[in-house]
Amino acid sequence: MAFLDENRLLEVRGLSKRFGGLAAVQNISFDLKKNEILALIGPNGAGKTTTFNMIAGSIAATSGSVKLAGEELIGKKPYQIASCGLARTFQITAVFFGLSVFENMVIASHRLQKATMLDSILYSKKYRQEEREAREKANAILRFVGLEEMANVLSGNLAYGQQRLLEVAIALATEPVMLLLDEPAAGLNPEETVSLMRLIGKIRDQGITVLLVEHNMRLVMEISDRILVLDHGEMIAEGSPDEISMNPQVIEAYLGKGVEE
Amino acid sequence: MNMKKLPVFVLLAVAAVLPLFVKSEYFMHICVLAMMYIMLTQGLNLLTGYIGQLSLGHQTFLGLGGYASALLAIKLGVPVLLAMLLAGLFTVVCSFLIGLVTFRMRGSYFVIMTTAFAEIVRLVINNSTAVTNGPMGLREIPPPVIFGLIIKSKISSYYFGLVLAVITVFICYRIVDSRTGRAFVALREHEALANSVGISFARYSMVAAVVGGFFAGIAGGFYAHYTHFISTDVITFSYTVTILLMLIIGGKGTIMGPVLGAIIFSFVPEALRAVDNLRLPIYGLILMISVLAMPKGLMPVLSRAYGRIVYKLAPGQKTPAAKGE
Repeated sequence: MAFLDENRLLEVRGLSKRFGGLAAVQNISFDLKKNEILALIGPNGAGKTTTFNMIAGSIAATSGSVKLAGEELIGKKPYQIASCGLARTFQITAVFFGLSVFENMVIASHRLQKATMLDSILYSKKYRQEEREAREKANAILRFVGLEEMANVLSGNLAYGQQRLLEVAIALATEPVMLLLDEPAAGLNPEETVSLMRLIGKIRDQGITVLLVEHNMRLVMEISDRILVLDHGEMIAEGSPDEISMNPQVIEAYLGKGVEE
Repeated sequence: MNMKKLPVFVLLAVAAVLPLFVKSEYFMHICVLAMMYIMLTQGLNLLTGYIGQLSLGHQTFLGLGGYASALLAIKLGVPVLLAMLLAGLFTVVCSFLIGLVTFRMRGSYFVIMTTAFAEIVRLVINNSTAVTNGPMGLREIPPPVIFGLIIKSKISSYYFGLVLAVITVFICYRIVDSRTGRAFVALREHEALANSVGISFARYSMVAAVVGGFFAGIAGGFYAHYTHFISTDVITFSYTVTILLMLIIGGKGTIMGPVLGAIIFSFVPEALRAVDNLRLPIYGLILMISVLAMPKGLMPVLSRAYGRIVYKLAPGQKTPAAKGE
């Protein structure tokens, strides 16, 4: 890539998904600036998660294009998309439950390690150096998200909120340019939600662009730079949190009485 | 010395001096076969223990390797060591091709596919009478020759097998202790999450199959040149059951577990020889009991026990963390 337009780190054009006769997502287009936090909201069944999964490659798009730093993602498999620098979390908590927190983190260095099998068989310098770097990075990121005390705990034994944090930590360990968060606050208590908001802010300060799907309106309104509203698979509004909370169409479709309170 | 690795070195030392104390030819014969089983289970362990896909076709590569090596040596006069290596490469190609088809499936579909392939290969070999001599098998397969030394006695075969087994275990250990091994485990634990950090199932299951196929092929060559005979008996289902028992009871997803399993289950059939008719029912019982009592196999249990002993003797010592637990 000779030239990267920082205003279009992620370019989504005409993205659509049909499940048989049902148009789950219709012709969605938007851009993401570098270092922006964009929230995708909408009532249940609006097509948020479908959009999210098409970008992450876990659902095949019916048509449209998604480019990350100019590179087309549609048609790529999830593991290839990860290699393009796009990391994601899952709606239903996904960590390697049978492994320790630290082992979870080291696995996530996978795409950055270049040592071959021969390197590790011969215990080469490259292999040893990469292993050391992976361990150091694992520790650094665990400190960053506040899980350093838990490094040796089996991740299946972590509290739910900590598992959500570990999930974000795993995504960060892949050193992404962009992070997709699928309902990161789901199931968190208010206190945990506040620290999650701080964490997402910190992640952005590291130069990582964030796209999130979220139901928690407080979190969305507080941390997003821009909000995109979907309803019945179509984009009905786009704007800053203030603009969105004033938008009559959005209020009607989604926020309803909640905003008038 | 690292306390964690001490038992491995002790085991190795015992293996190295074993023939000095064992005078029974028959006992040595079982030990030689144990070496073959170690090579075989290590490879299967990568796919079934680490990636978590149960293959019921692993012994097929033992058969293919044995036939390839024997035919190269008998019909083309290829030196045995070279024939064994070529047989290993041949099984690599075979496991790659079979993998292209089977790795489109997961779970029980994968199991069925591997069983089917094993059966197809067995039937093809049995019916290609012109080349393979059919169900009669291949006889008078020449023994390996290393630097002019003919590996024919039980003791020399044992040491030859030991060297091959140690190389196999070492290479598998190094693979598991790297990004490749972590990718295996990641795929076993959570495939979608593994994908999301850039790990491809197709790629790594193929790596495991190909490496496992290679060692199974070498093991097959070793077996054929040691017994001087090979037939499709080695591709039958009872072999599959045997190596799975070794793997599961030893502790799949650990390096030393299958080694212990292979050693133990090389001797168990001999101990049961007096009650031969009851052998399979007893196998079944052993499997049931051990899966109930130690679902992760023998290795984690031993590893924990050893950790406690080390801790009692030297409280400051780093206790061995049970790998793969």
